[in-house]
Amino acid sequence: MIVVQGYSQSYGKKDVLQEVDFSIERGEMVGLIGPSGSGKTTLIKSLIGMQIPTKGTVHVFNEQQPTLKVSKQIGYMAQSDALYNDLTPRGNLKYFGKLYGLRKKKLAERIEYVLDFVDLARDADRPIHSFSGGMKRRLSLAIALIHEPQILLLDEPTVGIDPKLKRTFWEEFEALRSKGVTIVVTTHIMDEAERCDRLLLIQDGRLIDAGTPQELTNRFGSIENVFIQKEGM
Amino acid sequence: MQALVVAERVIAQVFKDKRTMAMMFLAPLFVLYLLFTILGSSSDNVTIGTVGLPASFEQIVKEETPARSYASREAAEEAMKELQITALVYLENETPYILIEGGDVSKNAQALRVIQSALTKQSAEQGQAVNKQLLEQIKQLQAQLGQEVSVPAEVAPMAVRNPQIDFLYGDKDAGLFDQTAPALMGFFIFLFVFIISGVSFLRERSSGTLERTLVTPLKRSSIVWGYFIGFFLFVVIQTLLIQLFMVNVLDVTQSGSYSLLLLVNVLTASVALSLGLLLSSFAKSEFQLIQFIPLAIVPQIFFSGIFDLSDAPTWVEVVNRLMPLTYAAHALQNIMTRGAGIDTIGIDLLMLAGFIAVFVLLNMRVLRKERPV
Ligand SMILES: Nc1ncnc2c1ncn2[C@@H]1O[C@H](COP(=O)(O)OP(=O)(O)O)[C@@H](O)[C@H]1O
Ligand SMILES: [Mg+2]
Repeated sequence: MIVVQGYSQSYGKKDVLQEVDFSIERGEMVGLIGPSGSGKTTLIKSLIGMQIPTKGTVHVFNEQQPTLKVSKQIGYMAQSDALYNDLTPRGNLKYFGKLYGLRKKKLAERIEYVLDFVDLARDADRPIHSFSGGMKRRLSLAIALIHEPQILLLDEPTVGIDPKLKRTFWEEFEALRSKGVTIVVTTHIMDEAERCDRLLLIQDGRLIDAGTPQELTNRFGSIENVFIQKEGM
Repeated sequence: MQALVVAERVIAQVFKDKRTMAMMFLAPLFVLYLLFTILGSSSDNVTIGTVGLPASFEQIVKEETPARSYASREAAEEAMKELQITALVYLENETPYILIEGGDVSKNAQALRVIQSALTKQSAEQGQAVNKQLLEQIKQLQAQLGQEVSVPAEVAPMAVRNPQIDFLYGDKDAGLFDQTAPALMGFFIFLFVFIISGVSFLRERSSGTLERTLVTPLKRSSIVWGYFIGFFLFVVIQTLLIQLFMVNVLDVTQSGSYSLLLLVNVLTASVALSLGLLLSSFAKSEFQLIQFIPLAIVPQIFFSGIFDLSDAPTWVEVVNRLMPLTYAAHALQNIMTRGAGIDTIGIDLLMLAGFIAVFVLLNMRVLRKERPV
């Protein structure tokens, strides 16, 4: 489903990612963990096809990125909310839904469905600039889901939201996984990492370890050590 | 099709943003009204044409400003239409006639002043010549008669016959604002559209919504066209408002076609729109975008026809030809003060359209930075 081979990314002289290899199967929930500045967002952006790899290849659904062919299959939630604040949630969803090519009836259905899914149905017609951070995060997730993507790329989806909403989010991610959606999620948080099928550890632009949370716990003693260990390495 | 989705969203956004609307529609009117109120006058160098006047007259004019003599009135009027001369002096039944081009008020005044002082001087000289001749004859008479004849010390110079003055275009009531108004109109349309389109696109970039939009299967060209079409609607309304205000409220001389004027204004605004979108790609913040204004926008006002560039060095002429406002102002001035038609300003329209095409293409090109496919 996702195959990354010998992938390196540089911006000018700065090498951000070096020789990254991994692959992800359909229906997997994979956590990307690593300190900030380690290159998680950069990796996600290559998976969506927002940049040309400096070296190596990134394949999604057997298509080499970057290509528009797979854009419809991918849902993306950026690290910071990218919303049109002058518009309502419904306006935002309509816009992105249309860009993904959803037709009128289908679009209306999907908008109601995702609004319900992220519990924003009651606020759907209020302007966004009055929204709390959590509400904006929920709308960002709704936008990522509007076109029923097969792959969901979530860049720190739960940063800055309260524990209750965080739990709802993860229940939703798990619900999506059970429907066969492949999820790649970057995180800083231990209990989030524990809920993933597999973890990829990134540090200083290198993939330093990979495995199930259990395997990594065995290797490092505890999942907490995974985080601390790599920080100190 | 996708471009229309983007355009629809841009339009919805602008409607929700009252400040942007006010900035777009009311600010230019306010500024133009202020200018209309405060503009005074100035002077320029002019060239004067003559037909069938004594060489001595041309000599006197040349002491002040360049002069050219023409074989016939037709040839001279042709030269005036090509703006080689500002005013034309010719004699008919011993009466001097003055024809003023009329498109440029400060030049009109200057030309009139030079011609009238030259006419006065010349008749004074003629008068002196007559005096001399008279004195000579008197001396001869005295010699013949052998007795003194009392003569007045001086004969008053021949009175100048009042010249008849006509204007090729416009009338002499035209104020400086009438002359600069077309160029200023072009400039303000350009400035406001540039700021608004630039800032909106920049906001799209800095808020991450551009990236978010480009994650969808949208083509890069569609986002550029989407913005273009979306803002185009407002640009047409803005242009129409400015034009109505200038021509119908401020009563600026408008002798050409109203729709041709609108076409030029809309093209000018579209150049600003595409340039705003383009330059916003090179700015990291609104502040940086504003920094482009003194570099890319303000110099254009020097080339917009408000200042006479005929004596400027060659490189200025080259820069002049690279500035969109040069063509806009040329077209606007010709339509409004000279009633020019498509045959005169067609080349300006083509140049403006060319600028739009180039800026739009460059825009699609620089968006590769955001997404390579
Ligand atoms: N467009 C860019 N140009 C230059 N450097 C960049 C760019 N994007 C990211 N970086 C650098 O790459 C490194 C990794 O960034 P990022 O992928 O955002 O890390 P993370 O998401 O893990 O916090 C950082 O040092 C960052 O400064
Ligand atoms: Mg990041």
